Amino acid sequence: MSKVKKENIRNFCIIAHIDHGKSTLADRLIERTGVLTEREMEEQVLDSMDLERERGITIKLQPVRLIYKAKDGEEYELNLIDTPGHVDFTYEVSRSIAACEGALLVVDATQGIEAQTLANLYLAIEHDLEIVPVINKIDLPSADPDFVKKEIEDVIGIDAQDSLLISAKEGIGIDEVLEAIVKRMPAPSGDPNKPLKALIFDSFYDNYKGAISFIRIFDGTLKQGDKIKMMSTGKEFEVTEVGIFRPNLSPVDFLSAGDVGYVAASIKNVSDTRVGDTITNAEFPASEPLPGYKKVTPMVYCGIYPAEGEDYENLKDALLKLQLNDASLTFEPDTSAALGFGFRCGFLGLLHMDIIQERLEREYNLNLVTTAPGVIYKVYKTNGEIIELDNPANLPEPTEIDHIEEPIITATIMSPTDYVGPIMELCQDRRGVYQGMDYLEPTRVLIKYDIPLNEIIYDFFDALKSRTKGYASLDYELKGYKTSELVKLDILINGEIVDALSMIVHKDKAYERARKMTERLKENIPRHLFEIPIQAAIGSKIIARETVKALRKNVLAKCYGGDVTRKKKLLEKQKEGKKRMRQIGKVEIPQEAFMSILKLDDDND
Amino acid sequence: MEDSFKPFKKAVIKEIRNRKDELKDIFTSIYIGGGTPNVLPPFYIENILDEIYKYYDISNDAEISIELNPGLIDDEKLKTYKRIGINRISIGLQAWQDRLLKKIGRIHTIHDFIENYNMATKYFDNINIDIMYALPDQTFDDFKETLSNVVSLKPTHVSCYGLILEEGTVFYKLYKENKFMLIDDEFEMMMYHYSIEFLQKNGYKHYEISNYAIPGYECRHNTLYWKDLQYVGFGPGAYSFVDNRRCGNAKNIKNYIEMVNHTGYAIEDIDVLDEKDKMSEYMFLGLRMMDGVYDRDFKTRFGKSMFSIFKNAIDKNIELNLLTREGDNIKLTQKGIDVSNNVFEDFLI
Repeated sequence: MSKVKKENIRNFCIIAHIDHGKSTLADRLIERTGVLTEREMEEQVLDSMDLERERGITIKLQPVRLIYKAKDGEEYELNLIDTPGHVDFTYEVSRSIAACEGALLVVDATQGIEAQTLANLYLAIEHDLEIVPVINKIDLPSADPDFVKKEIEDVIGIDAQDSLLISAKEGIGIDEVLEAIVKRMPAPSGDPNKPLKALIFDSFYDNYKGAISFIRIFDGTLKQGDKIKMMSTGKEFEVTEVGIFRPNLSPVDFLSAGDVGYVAASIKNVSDTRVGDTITNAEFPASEPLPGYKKVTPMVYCGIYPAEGEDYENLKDALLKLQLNDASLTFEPDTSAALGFGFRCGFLGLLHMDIIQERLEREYNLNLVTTAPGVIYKVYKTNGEIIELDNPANLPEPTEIDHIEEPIITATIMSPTDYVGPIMELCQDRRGVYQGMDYLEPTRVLIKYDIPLNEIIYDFFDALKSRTKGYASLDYELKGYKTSELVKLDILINGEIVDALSMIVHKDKAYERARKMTERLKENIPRHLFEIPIQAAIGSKIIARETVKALRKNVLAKCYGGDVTRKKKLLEKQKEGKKRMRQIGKVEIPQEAFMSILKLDDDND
Repeated sequence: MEDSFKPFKKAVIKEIRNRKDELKDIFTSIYIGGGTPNVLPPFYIENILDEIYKYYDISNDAEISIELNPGLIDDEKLKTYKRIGINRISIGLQAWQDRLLKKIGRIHTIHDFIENYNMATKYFDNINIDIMYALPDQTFDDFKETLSNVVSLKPTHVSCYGLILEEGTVFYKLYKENKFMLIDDEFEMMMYHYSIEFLQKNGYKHYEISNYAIPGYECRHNTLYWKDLQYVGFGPGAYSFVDNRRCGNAKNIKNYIEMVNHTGYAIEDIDVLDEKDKMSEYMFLGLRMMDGVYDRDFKTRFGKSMFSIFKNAIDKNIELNLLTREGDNIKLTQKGIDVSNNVFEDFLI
């Protein structure tokens, strides 16, 4: 494949809200530039995982190189770097954006801008990307492109009069998009003769080639045999292959300033190819790395246990395999008296957690029991020690604690004005502190609250959705830590503390949560031959109690010839069900009981 | 009307002939059941019984029962039943209150029942009455009234069942549609315990979870199910238990007739039992009887002691006061009866 001169390279990304048609547009661009034949073209090529396709979201970035012959007769190389559209992956998005010179801002002509789009758009503006607004779904009867144009101008303050009007689904306006990329976005700058600076914006693990980094070269060149150095860790490797995305990995002789491609260097572990890190040449190193690198750390933690104890090793293998491709997933072995052997896992956010759980269950066929998600608390002990606590079970004795700090996020909620009341009520209820409100236009508003992260991770999304009929969108970023009156809430079943059910909550929320948890558990724990008290306690003080009444009746009145087989199956089912239960003292607790407390809000909205 | 039953009768007769060599034994009971066999014209019952007499060795003092639905009984039918050798009848009364009968979808009234019962006593002295508790809207007084009125009729046998909510039944549908509330377990057990006490006081022996009889009138046929003995069954939904196999016929009448016409058989469900299954069944069926299970019988049957095979299950349930042991006999306690499914579960191996 012949190389295009640097002036004819365009590196761009697409910024869009979930469902606004990003993947469909990407498909059309690929189709129109003929990277793949129509037959090869599976719907939505870039979302490679089934799960992503089902949810209509992109998690993993999959770049693609398009060759486009423009109206000026020149051939251009367009590198599309897809970005995830979810708050959990903001850092990844920022690195992808940093690899580009331009961005297509895709907005649904029937819905307008959403909070997440806005957040990513600000990132793009921060990085001086050339923004090309694209208004999608203009074929729909309810499309209102003029309204959306005005909104873009009001909200972002960029000129939207020459927005492109398209329908990715119907293939309308695709050529105009390609022309705009060529005409309106700048070519990359950078010097191929300077020392190598390549930004890693993603990486994945290949069984044969090892960890593969997706890179954008800012300065210098890179080829097979080069010695490279990861600037954050100083680790060195020898390049075994460089290549480009068509969209499958295709080796090339070299990559140079302005190019987007990949590099393989027999790297055993994806954690050595950290997103945001700068790759340089080990022999002729750059003096400074590219700006913006940070090590991503998990924000949300939960315990994951195999439903059947014998699956522990399988769960471990599955987590290791997932981690190969996802350095942001952390886990370490954990033991619970209630749930046995499992793992304490850390995630970037709730969606990340959901996705990992779902992949474990779906791709690795595991049946899981998970504990309530938690955040990292900073526990200041009276002896001056500071603990970063991700597992409520490890909270020191109250007498040893001076104070506890919890993470606070700034939530940005975008919504039609009709729902301002319910949203503020919700935020207030979640201990939010009002920060401000902007009217984006007469009917849409942007509300800002500082809210403790532990209030967000329970069921804030669901509650927000149900209170706003799905119209509100949310973005958040970590603001910092704040001292808070937090207590550990324990659940006792038949007098015994169930460690897997302990959680850290704000003092003012403890009673309500205690009441809901005990109610849920009562509903989900089957009757035993004896009465089972379910109690919630802070320290030694019981603050809520429910009782599972003793089983009084489990008898089959009729059992004649024709009933025996069926009866036996019933007994087998009964026995099988108990096998899957967790034994706490004398009480058998089904998995559903553990899962039932994860969403406590949905019954009282 | 009669003709619509003809294909059914022909199919049953074909099945009887086909399977005549399946179980060579002396049969001590015949049971014509399935709820409402009395919808059949009586001479069809006669034809079917004749076939059985022709192909099977029926003992002279065999118990030959038929289930009857009140409201569909007449003198003609009773006379025929008597003539063809039937010597025990079972009548499904369920409750003494018309409002409850209506609620549970029965076509008969209490008046029909009394009339039919009196008619039946002219021909039969061995009569069972089926009654129920834990019916929707049934009060404790309703149930007491049912029991005392039933006892005053002096039947030889009473079957007293708690309502079971099973998927696929009318009740289940009504329940799911919130058309009625289930009776609280505590209340149901109160009714159950009352029925045991009341019937015992009136001379009936509580011999199985839901069955009571004047001593000597225990239903021989049902007892063979609980003693895990062999049987053959004909007709839709009928079960057979021969050697290691328990087989069920197609339940749907149309399917049954078609299957028999095409293949001579109508088996839809086969459960092949290994030694472990047989031992488990022996226990959980045997323990349904108030006399419980004797190790000497178990040993005769399986050549091993139940106290070694089921050591854990027996010890655990004795510990929980759900079973008692006396010598080589174990049986359920009253508490054990109430939660007998929990006990039986432990006997699955």
